[in-house]
Amino acid sequence: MARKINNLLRFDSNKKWLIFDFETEDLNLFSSKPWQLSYCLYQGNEKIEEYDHFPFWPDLKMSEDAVRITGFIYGDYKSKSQDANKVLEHFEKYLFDKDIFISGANLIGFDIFIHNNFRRLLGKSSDYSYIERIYDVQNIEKAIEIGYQKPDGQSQTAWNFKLKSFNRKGLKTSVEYLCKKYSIDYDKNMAHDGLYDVELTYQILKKQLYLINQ
Amino acid sequence: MQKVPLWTSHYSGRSILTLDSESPEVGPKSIFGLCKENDIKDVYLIESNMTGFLEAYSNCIDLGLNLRFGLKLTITDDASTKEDSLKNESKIILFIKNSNGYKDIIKIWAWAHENGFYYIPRIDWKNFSKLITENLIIAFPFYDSFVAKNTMTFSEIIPSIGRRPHTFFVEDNELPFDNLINEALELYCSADHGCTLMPAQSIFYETPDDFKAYQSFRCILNKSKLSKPNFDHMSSNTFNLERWRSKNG
Repeated sequence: MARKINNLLRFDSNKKWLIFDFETEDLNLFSSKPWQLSYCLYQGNEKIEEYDHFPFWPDLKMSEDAVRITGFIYGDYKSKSQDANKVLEHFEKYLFDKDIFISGANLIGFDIFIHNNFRRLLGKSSDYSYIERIYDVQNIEKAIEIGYQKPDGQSQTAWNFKLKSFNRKGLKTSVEYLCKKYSIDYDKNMAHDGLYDVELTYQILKKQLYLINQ
Repeated sequence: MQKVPLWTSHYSGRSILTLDSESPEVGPKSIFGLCKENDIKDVYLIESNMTGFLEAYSNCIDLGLNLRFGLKLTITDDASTKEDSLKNESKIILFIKNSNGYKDIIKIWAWAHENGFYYIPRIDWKNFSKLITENLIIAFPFYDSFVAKNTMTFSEIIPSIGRRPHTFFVEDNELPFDNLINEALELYCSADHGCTLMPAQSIFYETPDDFKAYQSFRCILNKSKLSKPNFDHMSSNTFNLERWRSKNG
């Protein structure tokens, strides 16, 4: 039993975590192009790497809602943008590294599909192999709230999709709510800035890991 | 093993293909026109209502095609209750085997409307067991069967189909949970439940390029827009005939 407890994620300070977040032109899970990809690599309490990349798409079509919510300015985007292939290649070095665990907010409902769009736009085939290493903070929160413990032998992918499908009136999982719940400072004006969201997500994750038996 | 092409028409609200006898020069393609063009004799048509049955039946006779009509029906624990309805619901497909099968399926469809209607017609396992006959073939869709539902959600649906033979359609549409459902189906069928697995391809449009038209149609029915369709997992454009052709050489 003691050995099992020592194996819990919360005690593994050597484990590396990739936290990522896409900002997109709209919310279409098939066609939406990512214009910002922010990701950080953490180990224990340390942020060891930080990236804020802007893949360039000549035909980017921002929806009015996306412009309003994310504060998108085309001139800024264009000046910071990089070759999309290079952005993806760099990101996937971490994403497909089997020694790195992955987290984010609503990855299972949104970001994994945007990553797939990113690949498709560059002529690559689908590859969701990394989702077996995802611990989505929204799903973790649901598991905490309903007291769901992952059964022995259940894949992380199944755990993620089961929790993604779960909904209950009054159950809140937004980053803003989770920050409030776990006493993490939250600046509404900074919301939807990729790196800010990534940092908040990691702070939430660290607190949540003490509340689940994984 | 060849994949079975599973067609659905616009009457089910999940396809932009029609049941017209042939495709027009411009506009939505006809399932039967596409079958003719691709030398497909057996038309597996899966609909979520009976609206298009007569049109499909008469056009198939005129065109010399074999109609394999399947009604995709919602099945639940207890059709008289509305509580936890979504949690306990899954889908079943009933194929008509012969002319008596048509009469039998109408009885089931009528029961689902009269006794189990809650937003949509539903039947429960108990009454399904009473009404099912040997004139109907039982099958389950890949994404909505009780096995998929138990795997992907917190549902714990226990079917009551006894020892009746049944088929699960197996698909690969490049979705992140296809393998998960596939593994669950293989496990379920490895126990002796009298089930078989059949590779299949659902077809809702002709080519991947038609996906935008398909998505627009779904958005109109869903009162949403392309920039925010609000459909979980709608991230693959593989539900098309071209995909089926490429997988069947």
